Amino acid sequence: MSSRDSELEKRKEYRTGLIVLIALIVLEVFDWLTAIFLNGSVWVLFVLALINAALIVQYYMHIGALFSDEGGH
Amino acid sequence: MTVQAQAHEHAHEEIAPRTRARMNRLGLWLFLLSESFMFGGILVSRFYLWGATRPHLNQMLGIAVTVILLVSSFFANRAEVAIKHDDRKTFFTSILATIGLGILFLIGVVGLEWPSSPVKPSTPGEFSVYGDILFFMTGVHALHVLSGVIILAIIYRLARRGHFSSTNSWGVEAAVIYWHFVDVVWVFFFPALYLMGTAVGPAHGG
Repeated sequence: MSSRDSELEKRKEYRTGLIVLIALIVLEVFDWLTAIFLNGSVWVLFVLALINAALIVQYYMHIGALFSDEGGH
Repeated sequence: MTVQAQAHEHAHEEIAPRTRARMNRLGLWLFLLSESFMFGGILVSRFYLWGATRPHLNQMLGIAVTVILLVSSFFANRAEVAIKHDDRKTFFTSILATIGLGILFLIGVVGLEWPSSPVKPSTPGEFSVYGDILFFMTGVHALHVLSGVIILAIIYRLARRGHFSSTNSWGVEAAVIYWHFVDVVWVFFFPALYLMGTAVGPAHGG
């Protein structure tokens, strides 16, 4: 991989991390609104927590790498 | 070199780097799976003992510490990406930001939430199911945050000595994945403690 490609990939990964963070914070706002307007509905909040966790596991913890040959060093 | 040492070195050479990377990851994820059973059990005990109620906690403080932890995960991810591209400057600033935010989270929970909480843990003669669950859940989680901060500080120190690079980043990756796991746990604990169900009992700070 050329240094330009590497730089582009790095920027793409930084941007993905930022988009995921924004999504996570928006979901937290939905959490709070659910507590206020839906009287803390357990099921809605649980589904929101699952979406939050899925985003972190997929994009930050890279669970896909567990089943791939990526990073063989 | 002893026979055992030679055999160990030989076995180490035989494992292909890609296989070793997969084994490392699998080992880490199995550890996290065992941790998730423990945290899952604690979460179930909250629903068994509190049902559809919760104590009056400071929701603004809860949201603030949650956002702090989410932002720390963002910086941890940034540190991992940086070291994999040999961007050492970004790596060091991101690791320091992650550690700082982790400490801020601990101050928020242990230094602010605990003293101002309307419920307290049980004492001899006075039983408090709300206090016990609240302090147990936040306490066990805070211990994991503290251990994550210590691990990240060790990673920072090792990196300063030149230990990590794009071709040797497993230590950073493992520490960062552990940090994200602690974040995932809080994503479930926060609504379970602060938001789910009907608030009962005295208001926070009262």
